[in-house]
Amino acid sequence: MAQEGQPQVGDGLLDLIKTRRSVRAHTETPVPADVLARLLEAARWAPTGGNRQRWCFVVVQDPLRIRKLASVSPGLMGRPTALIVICSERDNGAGRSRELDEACSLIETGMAAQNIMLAATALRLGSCPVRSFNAAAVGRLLKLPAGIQPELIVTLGYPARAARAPDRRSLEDLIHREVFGHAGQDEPEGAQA
Amino acid sequence: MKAGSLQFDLLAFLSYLAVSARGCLDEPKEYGPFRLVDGMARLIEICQEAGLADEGWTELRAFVDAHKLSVMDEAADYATFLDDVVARTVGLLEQA
Repeated sequence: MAQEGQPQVGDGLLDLIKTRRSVRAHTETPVPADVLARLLEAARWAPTGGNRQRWCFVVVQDPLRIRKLASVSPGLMGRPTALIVICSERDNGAGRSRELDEACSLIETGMAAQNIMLAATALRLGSCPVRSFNAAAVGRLLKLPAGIQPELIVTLGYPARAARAPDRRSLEDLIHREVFGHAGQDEPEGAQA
Repeated sequence: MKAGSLQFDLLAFLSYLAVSARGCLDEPKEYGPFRLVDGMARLIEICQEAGLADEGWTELRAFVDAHKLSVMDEAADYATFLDDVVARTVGLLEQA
């Protein structure tokens, strides 16, 4: 057992989670291939419902293609030197309804993106998730076949400057204990399992 | 059309305007003014690279870039920021 006050296993990960920032100003230094490979490996290990892994990752490093994608992605700011476009394979719902399939794809995309962004932070790389893009235009520029849906773009590049930490709502404001509206440690009134 | 040419940069800007217009139908209404002022910064950047922007334009772009994202967490102050952008732009117009 770890002693009180000593670093715990996982503290490093918690630090990464808290120091990740959405980086929108980049240097011109390209992202090395081995660094990109590590980010993609992190993405590959994100969980998916039923381990279906119905996704793919389009890596873009060509400056002209990045520029074209940026012009149809208003949420993409700065001059990232690499992009990972997370796509879902919507033509294989594994028996799910369309609505559930879309919801699961978005959740799985988010988990893969978080893995990428935390790995990027660990490697001193800046990242930013971008959802504000025109999906039809992105699909066309990336030559995505029918059934492959671009869900999220993760921009990558070395930060040109430190990004400010955004405000966060307090835990007290966010957390309910046992039932909604109960914040204390005591048993909520009338609560029964 | 050559990549990096003024014509390419303007086409990229037109694309930005087109997809922003479409996106505004679905996105939060605060994104509308944000896209417009971000568009100002993007257009000034194109003018800078083409040698068409003077010091006043450069300062205007720096001001917009420094504050445009504040709509994300200081929405209440965004009107003040936009008023300032208007005043600075009209100031340049007066001098023209």
